[in-house]
Amino acid sequence: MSYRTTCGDACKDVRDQLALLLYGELSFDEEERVDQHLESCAPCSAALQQQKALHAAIDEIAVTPSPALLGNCRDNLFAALELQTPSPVDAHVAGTNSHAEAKQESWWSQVLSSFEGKWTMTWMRPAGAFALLAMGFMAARVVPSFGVAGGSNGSANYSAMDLTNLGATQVRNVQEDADGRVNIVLNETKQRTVSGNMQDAMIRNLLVAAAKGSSDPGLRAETVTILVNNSDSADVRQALVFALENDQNTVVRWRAMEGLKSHAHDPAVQTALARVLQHDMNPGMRTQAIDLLTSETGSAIDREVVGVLQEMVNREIDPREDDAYVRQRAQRMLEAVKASAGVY
Amino acid sequence: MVQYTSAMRATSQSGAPGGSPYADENALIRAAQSGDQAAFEALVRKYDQSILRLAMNLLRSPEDARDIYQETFLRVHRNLNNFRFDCSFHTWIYRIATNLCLDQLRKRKVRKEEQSVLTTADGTVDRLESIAEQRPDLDPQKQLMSGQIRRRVKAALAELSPRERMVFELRHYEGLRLRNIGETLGTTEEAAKNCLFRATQKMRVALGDLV
Repeated sequence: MSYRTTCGDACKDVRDQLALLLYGELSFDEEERVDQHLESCAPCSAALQQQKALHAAIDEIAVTPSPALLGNCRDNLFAALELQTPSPVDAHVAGTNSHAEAKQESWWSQVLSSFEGKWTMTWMRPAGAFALLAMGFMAARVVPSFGVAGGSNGSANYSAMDLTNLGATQVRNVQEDADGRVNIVLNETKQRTVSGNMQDAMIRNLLVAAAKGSSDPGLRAETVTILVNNSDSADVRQALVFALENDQNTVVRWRAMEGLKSHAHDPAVQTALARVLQHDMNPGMRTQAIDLLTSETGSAIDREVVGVLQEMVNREIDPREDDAYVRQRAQRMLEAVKASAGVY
Repeated sequence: MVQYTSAMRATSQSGAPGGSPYADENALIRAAQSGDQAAFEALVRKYDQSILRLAMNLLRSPEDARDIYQETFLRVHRNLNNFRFDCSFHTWIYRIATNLCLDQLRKRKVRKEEQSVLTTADGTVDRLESIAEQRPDLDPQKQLMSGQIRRRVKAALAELSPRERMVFELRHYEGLRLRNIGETLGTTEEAAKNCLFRATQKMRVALGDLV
């Protein structure tokens, strides 16, 4: 339908005002004039109904941020604020220790303040300096650090990073150079960058951890994009399977499935694809999954996968989505492996 | 300036704070200005969802929306002591966010509209559809809407000028009155009304045959 009618200028003026009328943004006089016209003009009343329908259509594309995204934004904001705000110790030294700041004093500032008034005697200062030196030495012994080592023949520019400490490290950003070198930004006590190629177990482990554990979908997507080029490695493939089955974000799942294309004969990948068929809410994902599964007609098909294909064949078709295509491909696959379409 | 420590971050992850000790928003703002971390956190929590939604709907990119969110609240934090109560805090914080969004929209107009659709070798994935999909409260009715209508509406919105887009967003999706929109954007109510009028005319021309 369209607004075109044979009405004259009065109708045109009124129709120009319909959106503002619905927004309640016409003046009293304007609204009165439009209302009067609508009472006596059926085409313009119909146009008002169309305008309402248009508003409803526009409403439909409104996006509400997911709680995960909001939580992630808050985490990043508070982390950034924490970094840019001078510590209570600094504030104390600068003599700006307000009441509110005093409430936030860390254990360290409390240690310092506990010495207030007792360090004024000059003879105690060397003892204090020695104590601080000893504490610094001990801290250097117990805090893990990345040295800057080597970097030749593609090895990572970190040293002595304890693999078992990965759980305490958060991957913040990943980037791959044209020559295949991967740069990973980590969140520890402060951010730092480690570099290495995909042959480095540490680099792979960090990427796998980020793909599985990061709360940032953008980071997970970038990480998976790097991992897909190295899917021959079993740990990488396992991470891609995990992302395919579990990631909340369609882009990440899609990229993971792309990376597993060349491994569609792998039983673990087939099982994951079958689960996508069963559970993934995105019709595009399901279509791609059935294409990959049915591209492997020459190899043996896992019993569980056959069961899922049978379920697809017998499932009620949703006309809104691409289930008819999925069913057709599943049926062909079952014929190719000489399995019945009924319960296996 | 508000002192911010990991203690505050810990409370941010444990959900909304309990009963507010502040009588009203002005008391909350004054407390934040004097360095009360919990007060600043409460202010963030009060406004951050709508700021993120505004950025997400305007920019149609989770990454850009995340950047706008972060920059908005960092600026709020930096400039909190400059807030003089000569407008509402809502207007002040929206002014910061809308200026950032307008800058981003103008940049896009220059370097061509960024696609929200990700093209892959075998098809396309709409990044915002994937975000929407994560919503537990997603209305099934919304899933019925055809892709064609969605694409047409998005395309029509993308054709608006940055200012028209902003005014339309604030009126249609955020429900702000034109008077507040004018105040937020630093213009008059009349100018905001003209802008909204142009935006709705363009939308009607572009989408009139849809309904």
